[in-house]
Parts: sequence; C-alpha cells; structure tokens
Amino acid sequence: MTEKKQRTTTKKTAATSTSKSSAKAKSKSTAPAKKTATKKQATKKQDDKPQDAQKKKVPAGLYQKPIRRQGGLIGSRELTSGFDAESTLNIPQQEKGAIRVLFFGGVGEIGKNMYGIEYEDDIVLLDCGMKFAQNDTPGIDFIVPNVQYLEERKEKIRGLVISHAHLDHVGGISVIMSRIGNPPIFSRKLSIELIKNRQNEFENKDAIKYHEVEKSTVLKLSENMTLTFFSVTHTIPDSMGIVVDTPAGAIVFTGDLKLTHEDGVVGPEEVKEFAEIKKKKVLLTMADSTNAERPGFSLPEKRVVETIGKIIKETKGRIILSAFSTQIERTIKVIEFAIENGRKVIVQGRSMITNLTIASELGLLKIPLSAIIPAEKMGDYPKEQILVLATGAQGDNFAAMDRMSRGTHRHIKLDPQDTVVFSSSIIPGNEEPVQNLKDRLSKLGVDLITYQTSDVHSSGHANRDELKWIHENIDAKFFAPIHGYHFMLSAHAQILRDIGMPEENIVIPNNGSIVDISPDGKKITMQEYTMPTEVIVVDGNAVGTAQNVVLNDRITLKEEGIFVVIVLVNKRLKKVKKSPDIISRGFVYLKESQQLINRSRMVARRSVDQSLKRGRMINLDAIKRNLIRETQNYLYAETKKRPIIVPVVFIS
Amino acid sequence: MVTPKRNYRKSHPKRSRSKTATTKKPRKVFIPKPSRGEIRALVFGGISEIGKNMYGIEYNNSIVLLEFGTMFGESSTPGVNTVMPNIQYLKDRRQDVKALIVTDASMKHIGAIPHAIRDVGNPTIYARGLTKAIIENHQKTLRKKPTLAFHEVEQAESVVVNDDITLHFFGITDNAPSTLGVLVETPSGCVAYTGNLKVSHNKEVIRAEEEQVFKAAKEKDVVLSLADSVGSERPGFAITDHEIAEDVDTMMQEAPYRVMVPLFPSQIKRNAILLERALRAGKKIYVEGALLLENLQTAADLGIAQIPKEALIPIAEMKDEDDDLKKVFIAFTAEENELCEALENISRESYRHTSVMKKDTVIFPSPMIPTSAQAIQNLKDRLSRLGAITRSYDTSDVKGSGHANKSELRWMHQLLNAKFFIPLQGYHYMLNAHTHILRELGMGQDSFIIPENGTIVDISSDGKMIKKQRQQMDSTAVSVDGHNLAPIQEVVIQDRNTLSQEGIFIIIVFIDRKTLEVKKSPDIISRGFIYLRESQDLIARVRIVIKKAAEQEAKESGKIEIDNLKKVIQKQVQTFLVNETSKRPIIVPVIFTQ
Repeated sequence: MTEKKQRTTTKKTAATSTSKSSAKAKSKSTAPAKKTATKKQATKKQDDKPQDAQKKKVPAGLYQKPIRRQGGLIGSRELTSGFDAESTLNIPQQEKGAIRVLFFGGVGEIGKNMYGIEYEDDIVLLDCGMKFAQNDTPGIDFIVPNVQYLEERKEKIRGLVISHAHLDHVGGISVIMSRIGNPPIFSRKLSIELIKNRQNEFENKDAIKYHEVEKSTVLKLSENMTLTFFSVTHTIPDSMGIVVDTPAGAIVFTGDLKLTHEDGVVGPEEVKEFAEIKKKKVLLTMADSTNAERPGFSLPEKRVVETIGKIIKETKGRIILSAFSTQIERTIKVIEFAIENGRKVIVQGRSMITNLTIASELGLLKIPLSAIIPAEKMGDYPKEQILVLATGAQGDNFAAMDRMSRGTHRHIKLDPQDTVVFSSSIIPGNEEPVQNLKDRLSKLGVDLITYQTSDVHSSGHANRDELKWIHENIDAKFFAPIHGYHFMLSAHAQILRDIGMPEENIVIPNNGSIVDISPDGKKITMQEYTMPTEVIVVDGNAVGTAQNVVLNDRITLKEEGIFVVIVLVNKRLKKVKKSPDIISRGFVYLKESQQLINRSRMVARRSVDQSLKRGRMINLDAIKRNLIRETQNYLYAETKKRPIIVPVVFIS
Repeated sequence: MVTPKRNYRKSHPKRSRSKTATTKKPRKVFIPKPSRGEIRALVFGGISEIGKNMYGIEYNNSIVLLEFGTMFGESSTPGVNTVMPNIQYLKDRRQDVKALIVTDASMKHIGAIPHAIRDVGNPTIYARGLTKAIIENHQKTLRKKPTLAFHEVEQAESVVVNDDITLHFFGITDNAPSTLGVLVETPSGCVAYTGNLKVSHNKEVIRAEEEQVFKAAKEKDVVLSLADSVGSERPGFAITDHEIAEDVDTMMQEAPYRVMVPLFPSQIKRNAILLERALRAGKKIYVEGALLLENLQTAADLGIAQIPKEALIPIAEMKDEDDDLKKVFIAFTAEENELCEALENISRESYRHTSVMKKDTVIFPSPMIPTSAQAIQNLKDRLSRLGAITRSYDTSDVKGSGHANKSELRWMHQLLNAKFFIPLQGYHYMLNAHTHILRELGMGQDSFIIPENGTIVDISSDGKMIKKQRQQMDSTAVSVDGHNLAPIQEVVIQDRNTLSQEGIFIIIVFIDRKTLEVKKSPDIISRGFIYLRESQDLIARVRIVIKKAAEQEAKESGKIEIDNLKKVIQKQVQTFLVNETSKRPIIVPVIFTQ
C-alpha cells in the first residue's frame, strides 16, 4: 500500500498545475501564502528552492527539479451525489455516557483506514487513508471513505490523529479535510512533515493546522477526551498507537504495528510501553489484522538489515536496491552500509528522494553530504563503488526500476555485472507486473535477489503470536479487529477467543459500522443502523460518490469494446439514406474485419428499414431498440463478444 | 490492474493507431528448412509466461510436436480470455508433422488441441491413458470436436515413426499418472524432453524405480535436453501431493461443519488423494461441475483413485436437510483464471444448490496464476462475512509442485548428461536459474541457449555446434475466444485499455456545404468518461468548442476537408477536456456534410 502512490502523484498533466517540491515542505504552514495564491506566486516559491535546499544541507544527490504538478485536485469539480443520500442525522444518538466507535473504512479491505470515537459532544478521528483503484474501478485515481456522518456533525469534531504517514492512513486528508471543517491534525514530527509535503499538491493546504505530539504528550482535547500516545514498531519511523481516554473508559488504537523481538522474545522497550497501557484499564482495543493469518512471529527487521548489509559487503559489482520509499529506516541503513563499504549512493525515484530529503532535514539521516551523488556524476566513479536506491519494485510503469529494465533509463544501463535487490514484498494485484519486471531484468543478465530467495524484506505487520502477546499485554475488555479483509479480521478475533475473551465481547465491524459501548462498560453492541458506505472516488478532477454508470461502462469497454452505428434516415421516403456509418474501438481489428463490418452495416440498414415500415409515425426509440438488439445478436453470433452498442439515428 | 495506465496515456490515441497500423503488418519471413542432418528445436510458446507450452523438433522432413497448450489472458490484454501459441511456422509444413506428444493433462499442455489440431495436420497424439481421457473429457465441453488419433503409452516403449524418427518413452512412475518423458531419436542423435517430469522421492531420497527409468535414457547418446524450468529457482525437492493432502486433511479434521474445497480438474492425482482421505474420514462427497466429476470418474475407472464411482454425488442431488452436516464434503470446480464460479455465486448468495452456513470451512489452494490473487482475497472476504471459516494451503503451484525443484533437476541432468541444453517453460529468470544448475554441473557457456517465444535453434549434423537462428517465428499470441483463431491485435488491446481507464467521447457534427456553418448543435456520445447527467455544463461548453473549431477551420480553408476538420476538432476538444477533467478519453469526430 505504499509504492503505488507515485503513480497518482505524477500522473496527469493538467493546465492548472502548480508545483511540488521537496524543499517546499519547509515553508511552515504559517507561510504567508493565502489560499488564493496565484500560480505566479507558486512559481516564485519554487525559484528560491535550490538555495533553500542548500541552506538545509541536503545532499546534492537528493536535489530534484520541481516537476509541474499534475492533476491533483486543484480546480477540482465537486460532484454532488447522483443518489439522494439519506441524512445521517436520522441515526440515533448513543445513550448518554456511552462510547460510540465509528468505522469509516479499512475493514473488509486493505486501505482507506479511518475510524472515529464519539463521546457525548466530542468526536476524535483516527487516521484518514485512501485506497487505490482495483479491477472493479478502472480509471479511478483513488478512493476515500464516505464521511457524510462527519459532514453533518462538523462542530463535534475535535481533531484528527494520524498514527503514521502511510498513504492508507493519510491519503484521504486532501479530499476529506475540507468536507469536515478542517479539524486540527495531531501527529508526530515525521508524519506531519510527510503529510505537509503531500498536502502541497492540493488546494486546501493552508486551511489545515498541524500540531506535533510526542510519546510523552498528554493531549486534552476536551473536557471528556484525553489522548496519550505510545510508539510502535512499523516500517516507517514515528509510528504510534493512540489511547483515547474518556470518563467511560479508555480505547486503544494500535495503528499498524509489529513487535521488535529476538526469536520470539519481545524487546524491553515494548514491554515497558505496553505495561504503561495496561495500567489504564483498557475497555476496547482496535488492532491491525493484516497478518493475523500468519503463524508465529514475523521476521525481525534486524535480520533483514543484516542480510542487506551482508549483500552490500560481499557483492563485487554495482548494486541496485529497490525498496518502498516509506521504508525510511531501512533506506537510511542501506545508505549507511553503502558508505561503510566505500560506495557512493544514487537515489532514483521521486518519492524516495522526497522522503530522504525530509529525513535528512529532520536529522534522521546523518551522513556526509558528499555520499549521495546525482545520477549524472555516476560516470566519475567505478561501478563497484556505486549503490543505486530506486523505487518501482512493484513493477510500476515509468518508475526508475521499470525504466532500467527496459533500457530507457537516462543514466543507468544495467549489465550482467550488476546485482539487483528487491527489498520489498509484492502487493496483491501486482504479481503480474512484478513477474514481467523480473523477466526483463533477467534478460539483461543481472543477478536478482528477492524476498523469495533471501531475507531481504519483512512485513510491517504483526503475525499471530505477536498479536497474541499484544492482546495479553493490553488485556482489554472488548475487542474490534481492524485493518484487513474480513477473513483476516475473523482470524484475529479467533486469537482473542483462544486467549479467553468471551464471544460477546468481540465485534467484527464492516465499513460503515457503528459500535456502542454501554456507559457502565459492560456491553458492546454493533448497531443495526450503519453510516452510508458509498465510497468517494477521485477520477481526474472529479470528486464524488462512485459514478456507477461510468464505471460499469468502463468495465464493459475494457472487456468488449464499443460499437457505434450511425444511421441517417430520410423522413419523407422513410428509408435509410446511404450506408450506415460504423465506429468501433476495442472490439475487433477493423482492418481485418471488413467483411464483418460490411455485413453489420447491412444488418443495421435492414433493421432500421423494417422498423420504419412498422406504423405510420417514426418511433425513434423503437428504431434504436431494434437496432441495438439486432446488431448485438449479429455481432455475438459472429464474434462471441458483446460490445456496448450505441445507435445514433438522424432523421432529416 | 492500473499498470498499463501511463503507457497509453503517453501515446496519443490517434498517433498510436497510425503507428501500429503500419508496423503491425503480418511479417512474412521465409524460414528455410534445416539442412540435411541438422536437428532443429522450435519454441512456439511457454517462455516468459506460465502456460501455452508448445515446442517442436524438426529433422529432415519430420516434425515432432511437444505439447499444445493454452494460457489465460493477462490483465494487460483485457477481453482476451484464452490464448494459444502462434503456429504460422507449421502452416506450410503440415504434412511434415508426424507426432504430438503430450506430457501432462493440464490446459497448459493440452488446451489448444481441440482448437487447432487440424491446423497442424492432425498428427497422432502420444499420451498416457489418463491424459487421453482428459483430453476427451475436455472436448465434450466444447463445440469443436475434431476426431483425434491417439496412441496410448503406458509402459516404457519405443515407436518407430519413420526412417528419421524413433520415439522412446520413459519416466513413467505412479506418482504422477499423466506425466511422460520422451527421447526423440534421429540419426544425428537423441533429443531428450522430460516435460512436466516430477521425480518421485520419499523424504528427498529418490526412489530406485526412477533410477531404473532414467537408465534407458542414459544409454542413448543424448545430444540435446529440453526441460521444464518452473521450479528451478526453488531449492531442494518439490512437495508431493501426499504432503499437500496431509495439510488439507488436518484442516478437514479441524472443521466443525461442512468442508468445501475448490479443486482443479486437471490435478488428477492430488484430487484423488484428497478424496480418498475424505472418504476414509467418512465424508459424503458432493462434486460440482461436469468436468471435475468426469475427470474424477475417469481416475476412478483407471484405478488412479481408489474411490467407488457411486461415492461421487453430483451437487444437484444435494439436499441440505438430509445430511449430517459434519460429514459433508463438497468439491468445487476451480478454474485457473477465475478460481471458482460456484463459490463466487455462493459468496453472493445466488447459488442454486447450497449456501454457506456459519462455520462451514472453505479450504483454498494458493493461487494458480498470480492475477487471481486479488480476486481470491475478495472471495474469501465475502465468504468470511457469511460466517465461513476460510483456510488456505500452500500448493506452491506457480513455483513448484507438479514441477521439479532444483535438486530434482540436478539429479535428472546428471543422469541424462546431454551435450546441449535448452531450458523451457517459465519466466526468463527461471530459465536462467535452470542454466545455473547446468553450469554447476560443468556445462560450458556456449552449450546452452536461453530461448524466447519464436526461437529456432539448430544443431549441426555432426552434433558439434548449437546455434540460435537469427530469424524468429512469429510469436504473437493467438486468441481462441469466439469462432476464429486470430492473433491478438495490439491496437485493439491498446484501445481497450484506454477505454477502460478514460472512456470514449464521440462527436457528430453536421456542416452545411454552402455556408460552411455547423448545422444545429453537435451531438455528443460519451461512455465511461464522465457522468453525463452531472456534467451538463461541461457538455454545453464542449459543444461551443467544437462549433468554433469546425467553423473556423472550414472558413479558413474555404472548403470542407473532412480529415483536416477531424484533426482540428480532435485536438481542440482534447485540450479542452484535459484541462477541465484531467482525463484523456478517445475522441472520435464524425462529420457529415449536407
């Protein structure tokens, strides 16, 4: 859920674009730029960026030219829903003193995590993610949860807390914030920087107020709501879990996490951290279920880093290492290893550069500035002194890895002396592009090391035994699994049953679920009424509820193509004038199907002529109906395909 | 998925069309026959993909074909369900094709037979009894039913085809009842093809019978060996069907209520073992899907599965209320590309014969082809919502099982001890890994060739040199959907990809020939682009853009040049739409003059 982002961020060229850049993240949100900042101002800002970057002591190799920001949501058109959405105000308010938990997204799927906790007059939101298009939503840029419930309760929202800066937890901010009245965002330093950086691409960036919190912060959001935080191990630094304290009890939201452990013995820091939570008498835990089906403990990151270190040390030729750009800790380690072994580092791929820039600005990356060199300078060093960090191990088109494999990368041409390391797993759905990428790389003769053949990657989510440890240590009364497909949630619930939690204390939510905990803290109920679940899709500049009509058309177009028949009718003679015109795309190869086209012309002509003969009046609808039916039958009989048939009939 | 997106986005629809139209002319390359005494190896398909295996050996005027499979379309070729190898090369050589040897019963090896056996001259098919039965079962489900000539091979046996070609079959163990190895003997030497050979082993110790079987091969002078590479990256030995069954058995025992298992009809041995175990556990077995049922019955007939035929009950005869739910076992037909239609329907609560009940256990195999991974997750998600327990076992099908792993391949190559080697089947990195094994065994760099689809390799008549021909056979995949076999057209696929992501925008304009003005408002048809009902304002503005563009162009040139007009309209509308919507639909202007 991390690497695919690049695609959205660099997709379309819209005329109404501004630019984004790494160093721009620097301009604090207090910058004078108003919401109405014109394009000119935006360009001006970029101009002073190089110096800006210099000032911040960012390695020259990390400098990137600002690109014209594409698409984005600037100048977006808000589509009203095509459906008459029922107001959520009809949803009954929970009993006084009861805690209400809201599941906006992230359950029954991987992606677009967003949850909320409501107590009396306060709502606190936890994460605000997005999800990428799937096979059933072709052409869509991304999807965010439905927040109508919040839109109608803006005044109750006290804040949005972000557990970590992966896109499935922060990607929805750009679309959702303005809809829910721009509540303040609370998160840790790195997360905030990353969010800000992304927000620069979007319209409402200045309306958002950020507040930094740390582990020790006690955040009193309102009379009844106090937040504390604990840090967790995940693949991005500054990940945290959140404890929401209300008079009725505390709720723990773990965010994405795994445990730091050595052969199943959990590290002392986490033992301490969780002991702290246990003291709070936790009412409800909401925890990450992604790997709940996998047995045992996950592969510790330490081992991964060691393996990579060994590879870097022992490999003779050039190394190209590809990892998720959000694996900041690992990338930093890789750079350190490279330097230790006398290699220069080249960073390829926008997101990687951006994230490393932010990391070095925050002081996470402590290396001599000369260690990272721009790709053009690669020729100055022998190949065995080079390590390339690149994005695109998911087979994404036009990512650095992709271009290298096709031999179209401007600076890096791979040869059989090179070693390519994929320090990442395959995101479900990307298997095919990844296989093709590996195939192309193999043809170039490079040595390929992947997580399947070597311990060069581990997931950032806890396996079964880790989850068990976590739950034993939190010891909450109730449990709601989140973050995963329903079968992952079920598997997670099973773990809790195994350690003795009674069945009635577990709820497995769906998107849109509303779960209430009674004021005495004795009962948890999943309400029968739900929030609307119609997702919001971003399609080019348009933002709105899923436009089913268009999506269904796209799916048919993808499989079958389109076939347009244009018929001119002479009103007086009631006959078809000349031969019908046919336009077809994605259906058959026209050049080789002349016969089929000619025959379907005849079919169309006959159909319309016959319809015209029926009755005295010309019935346009009937003509079209018959035309569709007969053409469709004919084409299906000939080709076994059912393209979308569009009849166009002109009467003159 | 989303991957093809930017590819076409870059290429302007119109430009790409004209470009491909010129380059896509069917190249008619004349490929001469091998000179006398040369052995030629032909690679029709199966490389850089998993599926549509087809290889050939040509010697003087004889061609022996090995496998004739199909493959499911990939996500990058939407709308294409099944493809087979391109057999253009054989078109003028039909009379030379003397034999077709099929070494496994999966679609990857037999799929194209009913579609195109006539196009390759209807040769005798050499296969084991089970494979034969499955090919026949498969034909029953299709409309095309060519008459096939079979030669059943059960024992190690030799067949003299003609003066040049003698076939020696070997490698027949109980473990995999459909697999077959063959030595094609020519006066210039032997070619060994091991197909989907799996070496039977007991806890990684290879059984004595296997050694026996390979001995025959060892005694011949093997010039060239051709072998399956799918498992070559995986260390050690492939897990056996018995081990898989063990896994599933455990899950079966843990299941509180009914057990549902999707089975691949072509996995005869594994299915047989599973069902035997289910029977032993006292389960009542229902089978969904005609092909699965027939294949299972065939297996029972041939004695491969120790199941009485009447124990297999078609699902149509199922009555939930009659059965002890704890004893019910349902086998569903799984398909390689869409996993399992019946389960899909069950998950949507629209299946006729049964529905999922709480605590039913559904046991999934790991995905056969990677594209279905996401579909499986969604299916599991829906089933889980209905209260089912979903489990999955690792068949490692894509990677191993059914295919020999590293240690097995190593053992085999040691025995064959061929002079030259061509790795077949699998992605390039698998082939590459396979050559590593040979290099470890001491084969020189110039003794093997990593082929691509369409590669032609010749071995000189003195058996001293192996050479890859510069010329290649046409390897464009051929779609077998619909009635005609047609090579996949790049243009159409590109259009489909664009259509699915961006949609189409058709403009119909009437222009008055005399006044050069646009008559009435231009008509607009759009599909898959934007939601029209909410974009009335946009459409109104597009109409103005079109009208302006058309009239200006017409007036400037003083006459109506349809092609020019189209170009201008297309360009201006494109710019307008990109600015307004950030989408680039295919734009098709249609102009009528009156």
